[in-house]
Amino acid sequence: MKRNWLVLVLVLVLSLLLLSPAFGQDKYRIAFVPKLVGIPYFNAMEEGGKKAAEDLGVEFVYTGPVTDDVAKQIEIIDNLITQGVDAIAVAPNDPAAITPVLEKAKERGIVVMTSDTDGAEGVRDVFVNQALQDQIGYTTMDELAKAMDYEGKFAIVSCGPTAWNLNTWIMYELERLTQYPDMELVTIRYAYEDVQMAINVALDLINAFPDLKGIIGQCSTSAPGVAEAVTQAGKIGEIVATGVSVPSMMRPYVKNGAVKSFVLWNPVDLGYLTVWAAKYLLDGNQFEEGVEYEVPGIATKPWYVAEERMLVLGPPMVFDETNVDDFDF
Amino acid sequence: MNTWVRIVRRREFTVFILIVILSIIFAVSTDRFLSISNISNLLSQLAGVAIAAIGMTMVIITGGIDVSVGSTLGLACVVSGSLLMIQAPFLLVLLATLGTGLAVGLLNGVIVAYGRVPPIITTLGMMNMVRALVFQALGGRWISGIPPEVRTIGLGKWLQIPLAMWVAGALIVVFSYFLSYRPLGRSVYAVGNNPEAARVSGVNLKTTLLFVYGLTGALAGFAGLINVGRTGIVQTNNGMGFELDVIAAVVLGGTSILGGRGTIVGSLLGALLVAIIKNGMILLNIPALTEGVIIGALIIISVLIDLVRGRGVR
Repeated sequence: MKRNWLVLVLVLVLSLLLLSPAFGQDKYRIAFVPKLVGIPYFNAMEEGGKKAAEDLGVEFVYTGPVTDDVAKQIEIIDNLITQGVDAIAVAPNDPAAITPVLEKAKERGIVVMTSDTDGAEGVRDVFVNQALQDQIGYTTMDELAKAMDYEGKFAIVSCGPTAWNLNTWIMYELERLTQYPDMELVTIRYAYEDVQMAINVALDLINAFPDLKGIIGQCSTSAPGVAEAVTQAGKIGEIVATGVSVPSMMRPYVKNGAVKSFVLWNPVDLGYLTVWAAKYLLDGNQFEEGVEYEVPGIATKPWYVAEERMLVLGPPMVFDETNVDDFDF
Repeated sequence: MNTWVRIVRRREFTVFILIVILSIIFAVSTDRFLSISNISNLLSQLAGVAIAAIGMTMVIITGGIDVSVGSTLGLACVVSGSLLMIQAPFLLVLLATLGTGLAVGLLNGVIVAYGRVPPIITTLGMMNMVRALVFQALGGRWISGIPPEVRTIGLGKWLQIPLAMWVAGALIVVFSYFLSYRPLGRSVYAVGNNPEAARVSGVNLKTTLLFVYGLTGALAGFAGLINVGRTGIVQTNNGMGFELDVIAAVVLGGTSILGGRGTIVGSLLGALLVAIIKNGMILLNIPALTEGVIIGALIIISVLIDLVRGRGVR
């Protein structure tokens, strides 16, 4: 009788021992949900996320809607919760609408983060910020002002009217504008992440305001769109385009003179930092105010702002003809 | 009823009058509206929708609908963009683009005509599949930096009018004639009015359906070539929402969504009305977000006017 018990215990212990490596080797699954898939900007973030996953030994899941669709994005996050990933980072299309689904994720013990664009501020554990919003807005305005010789009328072609980051940058651009008394914003238009629409809108603007001297393309799709419009209208030299976009799309317009400079950060590093931060939290660490973190694999030294639970990648980057060829995203 | 009364009572006339009124308002409010460069912009924005609307008009006259034109346009953009990138001869680019659209369209036609799957279901499925194909083909990357020298179809002008609009005009004339006077054209109306009666009187239902869906696909493909010509960029989401622009133009232009009635010229006017509103709102600097409200309301009101007049949408 005793022997039987012994055998049973032995078998149980053995099977547990056999099973445990399977548990132990179970890597963290860290998901990133971009605003939409299939555009170079988020591709670059995906690239960085993949690289971080390799370096850190975690699994990286990249999935998102095919348009900047609020409902689709929520649905995708819901599916990730069902799949039981360990961390979800999202670049929300709508900062408020995303809150309930992220709350649900948090209740299931998932680490919840925003990256690239903030949202659900009361819920998310950390916001991985590419650069401080005010610095991006100020830098964009400064670059435009410099290119326009500090005077004249300009317009802004933004993308989704609900995109929090774009609206915040515009807010800071307008704040900075007060330092340039001879410049005047004539209108803000929306092109919904569609290059053709950005071209159409910008061409109409060029017609509507014959004395227009500058156009800001506020997002990665509208910036090359407005630059193409300046080119097509034959206004290179008269109207200058700038904005926030990726080097691969802006390169032709920097070369033809429609764009003198534009603003961005390194999205590959941002993707890397997102995955790194998720792993850092999953390992049970906490970020601390004012600390500059050493993140092997990226060029900048991110720092943490405790009040806003925000990890900042670094200062924004200005691209012009001297460095636009150095980047392949 | 004399001829004048008949003309005045047509939807095309209502839309035409609206276009005239709006044009006068815009022309008086801003001297930029009637400038050559503005009209040229307006027409080049219009061309793609006008061309795809030719096929869509016929599809809707048969009582069907094709929501896959946006995805078809996207796929055609990938094909033409890749070929233009390697500087392929224009004839090859044109044939490949039309062929791509035609293939998708014929596939729709076969499923609708032979499989008897309702058109909205068939084309909805096709819309998703073709869009997935676009993603597959581009692998998330864009095609960008297509040189202006090979983009004549999108950038070229003749007598200040965009080349694409000349082509659109020619196609509209040819297919309007075809729809009114050729047997296959008449059978499009017959199928929409009463498929059973059409069959009994010798109209080949299947051929007619294959023709209208095939044509719509090919024309959506052509609109894709124009799109690439204009932008020089192929995005994965090229043409998303395009189907709604085209259907809006057709419905605004008086084609009955239940089939049997409609004209290509009406659809052109519908597309022109939408383009003028979008353009005028920017010129007058009316806040951007009111645009959707105005265009949406216009679509519903124009159909309501029909109902009030007692003609109904059948």
